[in-house]
Amino acid sequence: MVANKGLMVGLVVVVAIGLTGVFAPWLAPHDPYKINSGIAFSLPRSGYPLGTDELGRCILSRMIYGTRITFTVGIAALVLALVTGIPIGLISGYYRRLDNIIMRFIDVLMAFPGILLAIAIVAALGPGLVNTTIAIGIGTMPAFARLVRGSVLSLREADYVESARALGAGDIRIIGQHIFTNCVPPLIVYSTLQMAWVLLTVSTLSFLGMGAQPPLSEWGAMVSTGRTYIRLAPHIASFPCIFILLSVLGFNLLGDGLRDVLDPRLRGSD
Amino acid sequence: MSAYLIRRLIQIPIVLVGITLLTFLVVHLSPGDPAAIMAGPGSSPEDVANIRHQLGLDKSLPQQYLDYMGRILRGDFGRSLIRGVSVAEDLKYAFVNTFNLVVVARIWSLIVAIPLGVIAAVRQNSIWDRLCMAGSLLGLSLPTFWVGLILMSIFSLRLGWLPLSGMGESSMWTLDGLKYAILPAFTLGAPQVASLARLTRSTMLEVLRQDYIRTARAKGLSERIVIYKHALKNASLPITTIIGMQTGYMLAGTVVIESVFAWPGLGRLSVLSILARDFPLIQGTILVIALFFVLVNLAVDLTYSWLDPRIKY
Repeated sequence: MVANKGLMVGLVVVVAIGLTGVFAPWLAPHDPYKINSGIAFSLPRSGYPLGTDELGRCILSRMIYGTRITFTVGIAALVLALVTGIPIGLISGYYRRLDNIIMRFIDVLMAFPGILLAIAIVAALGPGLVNTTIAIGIGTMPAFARLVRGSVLSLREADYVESARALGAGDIRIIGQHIFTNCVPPLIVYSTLQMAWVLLTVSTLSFLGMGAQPPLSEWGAMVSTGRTYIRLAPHIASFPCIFILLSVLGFNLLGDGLRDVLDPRLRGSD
Repeated sequence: MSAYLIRRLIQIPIVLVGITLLTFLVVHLSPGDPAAIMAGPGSSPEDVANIRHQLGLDKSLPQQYLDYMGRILRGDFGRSLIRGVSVAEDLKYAFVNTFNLVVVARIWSLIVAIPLGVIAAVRQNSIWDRLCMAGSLLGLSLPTFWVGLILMSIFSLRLGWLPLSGMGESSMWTLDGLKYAILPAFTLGAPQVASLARLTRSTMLEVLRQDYIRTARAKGLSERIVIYKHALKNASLPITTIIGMQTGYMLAGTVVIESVFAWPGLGRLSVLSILARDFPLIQGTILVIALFFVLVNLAVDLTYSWLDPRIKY
């Protein structure tokens, strides 16, 4: 089945790239920050499988180490979004009175495409990796809050919730044990799909100069510096893009596959 | 229709006030002292204090906000900290350029995406369908800045067919000016084509499953009439929603595309202002982008009632 194939491919790609990041010191042939102007701009050659950049640094090594940066920022931003979004969604869905106020606020935040929100936050905090993580995390948070709230709204009327209440369970126990556990499947699906977007946005922000600062070898930043040399040495900008493409594609495939498996109701008419 | 319209129109200023508040807070609570930055290094504390007084930064925060709102309502967005020109002028120019670009991108993406989606739906599981789905997944995963760079290097640097960047001397709506817009508009519209085609396909599939389609076919209507007159018309409502949402993403896309192609629009302006920490400009651009966004959403909502006579607000 196509769904399972997509899931498998996505999973393999994601895990492969993740492991590359984890085992970077063993996989990278050279020090990603070592400058060697003598061999700058070279195309793939012996010892440098992907060539060198404008300062003679090994592109492959930079990309491998870049995996760590991009993935760490991505995961951190996602965790931030989950840690802030889930409680907000739970509270908003469970307590009617607070729902209205919270949702107005979330609506305003959601009205804007995530990247604009992230840029606004970077505008306040200034460029840099930490600020980018915070910005993207907050930019993604409203979607999670909404998702959780939606699940809670439909789940709170369930029979088992009523019986739990009748048995004397407190609110926290009901929310934590019963309602939240049922929110998890759509959350998993959505997190995976959002991760694709988060990775793309991290690269984009770094490309624009707002994220990773030189000499960090984050993929987007590499494309940004490689851009100046696109005519002479297109490989400097292109190779990092391939990694970006693969990771984003991997997460998209994984998310789609998970959605088909975990919650067929969420599918479009595929 | 009028009651809803009035309610929506009232909501707009409220949302905008909320946004001005947010941008104001965002900018004023951030680290860095604009007065010190403007005064430059090596200036005396009196100089900094003077500048601070000139910019009105020594007043209380709520007071500053009220002053700011007052000025905005009079159309005075202040002066750019870096270049000293009126922010309102910059914004007007940038807005028009972004608007033009978005219009062109939107048109081309609609022309390509909707037929693609319809064909994919009508010939489900055929080669077309699979290509369309694979293509759109690819399109959604590609980093836009890279697509822009590659196109730039192929069509501009190597083939020399199109100008490299910028907007050119003449207005975009001339034959000469349009050349500059081709690459950016194409790159801007490309991800939209991907997701719009996908969504058109799903919507059409849903609609084609309906009973009234079977009835229409049973009545002996030609397949073409069935698809265009009945199916597509009914699918147009959800598709319009999506188009509206997508225009928001397109605005976000302009940030990257304009930076890549040096197109003097809102996106590029916002990036430059943020990197330069030019507060009045940052506030202005965020506000105008938000306004643009809100107006597009309103236009989409209004199109609903036109497309579906059953909807009476």
